[in-house]
Amino acid sequence: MIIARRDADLPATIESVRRQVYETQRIIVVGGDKDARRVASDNGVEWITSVAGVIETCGDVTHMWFVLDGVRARPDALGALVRGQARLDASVAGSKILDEKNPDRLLSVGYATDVFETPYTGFDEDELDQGQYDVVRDVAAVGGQSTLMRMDLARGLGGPDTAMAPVAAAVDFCQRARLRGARVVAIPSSEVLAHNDHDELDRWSERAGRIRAMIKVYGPLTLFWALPMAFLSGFAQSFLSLFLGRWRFFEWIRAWLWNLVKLPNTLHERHAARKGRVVGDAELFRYQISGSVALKSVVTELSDRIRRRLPGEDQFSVEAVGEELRRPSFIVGAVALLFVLLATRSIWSVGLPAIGFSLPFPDSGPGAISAYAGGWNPAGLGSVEPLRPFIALAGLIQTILFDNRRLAEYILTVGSWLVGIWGVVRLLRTWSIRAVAGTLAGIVYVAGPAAQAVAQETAVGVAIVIGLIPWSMRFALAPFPASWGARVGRITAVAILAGLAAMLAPLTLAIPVAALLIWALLNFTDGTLWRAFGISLGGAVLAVPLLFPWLGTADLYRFVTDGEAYWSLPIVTAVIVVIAAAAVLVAAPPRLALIAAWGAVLAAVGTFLARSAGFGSGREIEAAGIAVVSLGVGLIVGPSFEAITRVREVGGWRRIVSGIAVAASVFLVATAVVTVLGGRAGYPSDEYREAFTFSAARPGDPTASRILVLGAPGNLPGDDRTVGGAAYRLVSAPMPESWETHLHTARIGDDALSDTLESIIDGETKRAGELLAPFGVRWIVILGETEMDPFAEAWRTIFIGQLDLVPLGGGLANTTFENEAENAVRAVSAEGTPWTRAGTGYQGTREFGIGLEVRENANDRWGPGDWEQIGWANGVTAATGTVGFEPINSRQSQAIAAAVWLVALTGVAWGGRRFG
Amino acid sequence: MRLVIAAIVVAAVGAFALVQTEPVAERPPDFGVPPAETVGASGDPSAWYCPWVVSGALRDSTFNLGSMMDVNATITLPNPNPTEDPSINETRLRGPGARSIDAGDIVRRGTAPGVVEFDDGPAVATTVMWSEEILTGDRCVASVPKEWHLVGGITAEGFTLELQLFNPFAESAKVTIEAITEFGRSPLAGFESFDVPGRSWVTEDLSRVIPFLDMATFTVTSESGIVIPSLILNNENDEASWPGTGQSTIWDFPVTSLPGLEPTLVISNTGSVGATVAIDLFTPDGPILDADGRIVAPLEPLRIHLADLAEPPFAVRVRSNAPIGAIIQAAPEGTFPRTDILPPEEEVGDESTDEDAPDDEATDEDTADTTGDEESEEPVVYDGLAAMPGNTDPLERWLVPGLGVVPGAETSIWILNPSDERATVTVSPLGVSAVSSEKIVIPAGRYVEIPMPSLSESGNSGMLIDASLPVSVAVSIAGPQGVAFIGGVGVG
Repeated sequence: MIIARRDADLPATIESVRRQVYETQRIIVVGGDKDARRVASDNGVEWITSVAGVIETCGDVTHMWFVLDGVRARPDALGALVRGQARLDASVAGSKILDEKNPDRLLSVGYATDVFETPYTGFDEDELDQGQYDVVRDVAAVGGQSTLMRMDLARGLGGPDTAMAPVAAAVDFCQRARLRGARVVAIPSSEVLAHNDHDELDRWSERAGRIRAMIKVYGPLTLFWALPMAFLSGFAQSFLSLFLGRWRFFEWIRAWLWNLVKLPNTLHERHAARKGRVVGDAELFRYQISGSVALKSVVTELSDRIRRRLPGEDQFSVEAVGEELRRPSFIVGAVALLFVLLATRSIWSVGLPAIGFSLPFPDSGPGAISAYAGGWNPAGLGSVEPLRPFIALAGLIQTILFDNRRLAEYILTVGSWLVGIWGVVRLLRTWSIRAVAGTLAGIVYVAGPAAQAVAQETAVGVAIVIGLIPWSMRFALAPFPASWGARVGRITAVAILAGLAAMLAPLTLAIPVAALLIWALLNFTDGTLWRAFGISLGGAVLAVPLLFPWLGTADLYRFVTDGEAYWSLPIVTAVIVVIAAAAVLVAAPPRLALIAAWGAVLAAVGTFLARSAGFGSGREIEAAGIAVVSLGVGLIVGPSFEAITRVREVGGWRRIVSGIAVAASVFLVATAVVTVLGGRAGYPSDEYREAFTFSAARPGDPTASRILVLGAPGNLPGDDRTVGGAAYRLVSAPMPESWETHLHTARIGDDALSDTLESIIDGETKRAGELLAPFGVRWIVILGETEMDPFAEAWRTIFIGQLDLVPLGGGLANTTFENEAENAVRAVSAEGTPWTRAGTGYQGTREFGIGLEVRENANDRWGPGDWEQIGWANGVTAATGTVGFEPINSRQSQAIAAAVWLVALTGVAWGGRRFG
Repeated sequence: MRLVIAAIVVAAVGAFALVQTEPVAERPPDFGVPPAETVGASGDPSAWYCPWVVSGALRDSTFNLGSMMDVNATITLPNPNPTEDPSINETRLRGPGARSIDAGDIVRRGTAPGVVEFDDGPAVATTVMWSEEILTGDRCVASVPKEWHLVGGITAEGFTLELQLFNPFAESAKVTIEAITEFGRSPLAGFESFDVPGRSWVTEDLSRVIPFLDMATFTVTSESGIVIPSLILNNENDEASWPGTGQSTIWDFPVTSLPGLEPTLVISNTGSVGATVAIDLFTPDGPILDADGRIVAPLEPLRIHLADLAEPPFAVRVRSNAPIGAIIQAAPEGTFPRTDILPPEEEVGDESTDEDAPDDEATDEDTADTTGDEESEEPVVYDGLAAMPGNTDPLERWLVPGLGVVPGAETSIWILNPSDERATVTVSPLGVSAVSSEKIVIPAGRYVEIPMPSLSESGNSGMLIDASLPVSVAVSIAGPQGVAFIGGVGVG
């Protein structure tokens, strides 16, 4: 029986079956379209639409030989199968499958599987057939290319499941057969040549077939744990496949959706398959291997790729393991990895520290995305000002990572460091700087004094972007592909990197462009560098649409001038950098010296940007400037370590001077390694968790209220406002999240709060709590840098004499008051029932016929139902149980368009790389 | 060449970066200075803390409220049991108006210090307390400085001195109390970092802590939290109480004595250098400027028997070149121990003939000058104990509640015009009253006493004093129970 499947070479298959030494009784082509029928007719064989039809018409037949179209069986293939099956009393026997393109290459000699029904051959890639598997043996399954089975078994099982893809169907048939006690064997003496279907295993149809096969054969207990594991394993495989340039999420999702649709039919088939079984799941496990074959395959492939990209040009091989392990590049790489893991360990355990502008990611990743896409900005008393793109990107990554914000924070931080170090290695390899020097430069780049300064500024976006910048430059500098498709792909790849960087920290969009411009100027006559600059510029321009809708509505002047750009330069470190740069300039070979000169220019320009408060520059420019400094220092350190290894070029006095450069660079590496002590990736220690999370332990739901935070300007979470020269701001209880970091321009509610604080400061009330309750302020926390902080002391003086504020003791680090006034909540119904925060909206008990006061800045998009303005706040109905802000359609559309643009860029980049 | 150019660029840009100056450092906030002690009422909502109120089986007390505007007043009496809610009385006061609220109507459980909150202003609060044997009263305080001065303590034989520390706030207060006696600074064992629970009070019998002292001044300093202190002095005849104050270079005492009582002035200097103090007396015959002059040494409180300077009655102004604390105490002769040096008799006589004394007479028929020397009936002689901190700022407007509320006692308003011009003063009842407004001319450097009818007669418990010049006002209440002096509350 020849299964017509894909219009493969059916005549050749028919011919190979006809030429069998062991002659067949009938040759039937099954399935396929009219072409298959025509081919069958032309070759004088029967054609039947389905396997079931064949079984019906073959009442006197004892065995059936299934052959897939396109398969070319050797003349004794069937004979060997028949003999082997008869000798072993097997019910199903399969042939050895060889690659039709390379008949010496093994494709399968039967399969083991994992618990997820994924076939496993046990072969190395491109393993040749040298008779090493020529042993008749029992297997979990045989490939569907050439299978001999007993007719009574086929009749009992109903043949292969036609709803499944071929490989999955073969595995499924064998599993069902084994469930009935049948023996499945591989007969290596039976050889067929077939198309290599390995890549098909990742397709949705094969994945879906495997899931269906699991559901059909396993007992309930096995399914209870195996199905969730299959789901997670598939997700992990899809995620890791991203790093191999494969987008597998849709395959994964489609497979599960298909099974959802097919579930009734699958359950019916399950009933048929398990009815009359003579063995249990333990028998099925006999030929299974542990773990996930698919996942292992991806991980192995990924490891190989990483290995190929890592220092050392030799391909990884078992024989070379010992030698590789002794290579400095491997050791340095391993130490770098260990360093990153140690230096970020605290982020694994608690997430990013809550201090300054570093606040935990929003609780809900999808919520963050929708808030960005035209939703409500929950900072302070809320506004319609757009959130920064960082929120959307972080939310997207968090969503992918099971909506686990701590994991997202860790992955972004660790990923940035690893990718950054790796990127510097790759960037410096452009100029033949070897891996050890590159890795050390990478460490200084991601964790050195400048990078630490970025972290100390709690510029989270810039700190993460540091990992992307060298890649963006490397992509632009790499040899330009020959084909236009690949060229377009290259530019779009740069655009993707630039876009991701811009979403994290918009000003960093310009860093690779500016850096490459300086490099081109230093190599004025080198056209390839001007082209690299052009690629980078083009990528940056293409990346701009990704910043919408933020870019369309943000106050860009305020964005670049908020705060004061003044980086207090660490003088000792600066002197060391100057020494290193000068020594490399003097002593290194010309090319290395020029790279160091480039780094020095970048460091100088970055330093100027980071200290340009006098020109009105703000905090964002400062952080971007320090990132430029970090890049420059990395470009100085790399050549300094490389120069000392160029024994032939650097001799005599140059060698001594190079030694000085290395000593200075070692100092910089040492300062980078210091980050291991804190384990926070250079960020300052957490301050706000201790300050705010007490509210979670207070009676009632803390999410119903806000915390008024007071202190010195620049010492509060994120942005602050000032009154009387001191700072204040509102944050959500129990813990503010990153979407609250940046305050909007003051609106009606903010003005009211300012007036209220002024009246409290002026001593016009002794019941400040009563005045603050309408703003949802249930707690007041006064943050002080020192015990004698004049700002904290001033605020304490104001609030300590209030009759309705209760100071909270209990060992709190900061002066903290609790408001005794009634209804100190963010949203309250007319009956006085508080509602709690849910994302950027609120939820609570439904109360019909009465209103709900939502204490956010008034905006008529709050709903549902009729909206009214209550003072500076909103009045909506309490009848629905949930209230929220209706998204702004235009911004939502822009966000979707930006996402589509990102996908399009990704597609073009992938296509260019793959097909160009 | 390229390296040289790069080096030059680096040097130039680097140098330019280095010379960038740091932004101007943040200025400290323009608020947060602990409030100075003030006794004036402002036009804003306010809270008045009344530390010494007792309402029980033997004693009655009233919270006396006065306001120039329509206000809602809330009197909150904290419960010493922290698990129980405070007792609260809410009152609507039509302005200008005055009302006295019997503390016993709110709660009658003995000591009941309270807070009076007004939702608008100017509005003020005082308290009066009496029994069959005592009569005392205080003005309440509106500001809560970190350091309080309580001048005039005596723990000599026959006196009982108590310190009331009232903490109306939720936060527990930690205070340190120091005594300055005739022997210098005396540490008070057990009163360092002394805890006063939130929304509660502590009454300490200082007579047992530092007994047999003729002179004791106390400073109460808050380390954390805030308290409102008050001293309570008892002898066998009466009780006097007065709140803590700040320090000032000017103290005005419109009333210093009543018939039968001898006025004494207690001055304390807690600074580091001696304070040169001058005492002006304002007699019915005219002012006696610099009637006495002293250098008050640091940490050496001083009691001056004013009757040695001139024949009472008179008003007093104390001037100093450094901030000092001052209080007037009045009691029958011989009650207070003598520690000062009696000046020669003739010097006093010389002072009394001061040529600078204005000779204006308050004779206009529009006036009700009661300070004249016309013949009168046999004066009533009082036997009691009164004390009062002075007023630090003469003002043109004063609110005087709590008039005529003590049964059987005489109440008078005392107005001092310390300036060298005559002042026209309008005394108007607060609210509907049988008493009508009247204008009084007070000659320069004189004072007037305006007797007030009882509340049952006038239906009015408060007066608004409007003057053409800054004046200083106080109230005396005297009856068979005892005597009380209450400082006025100006409208700033």
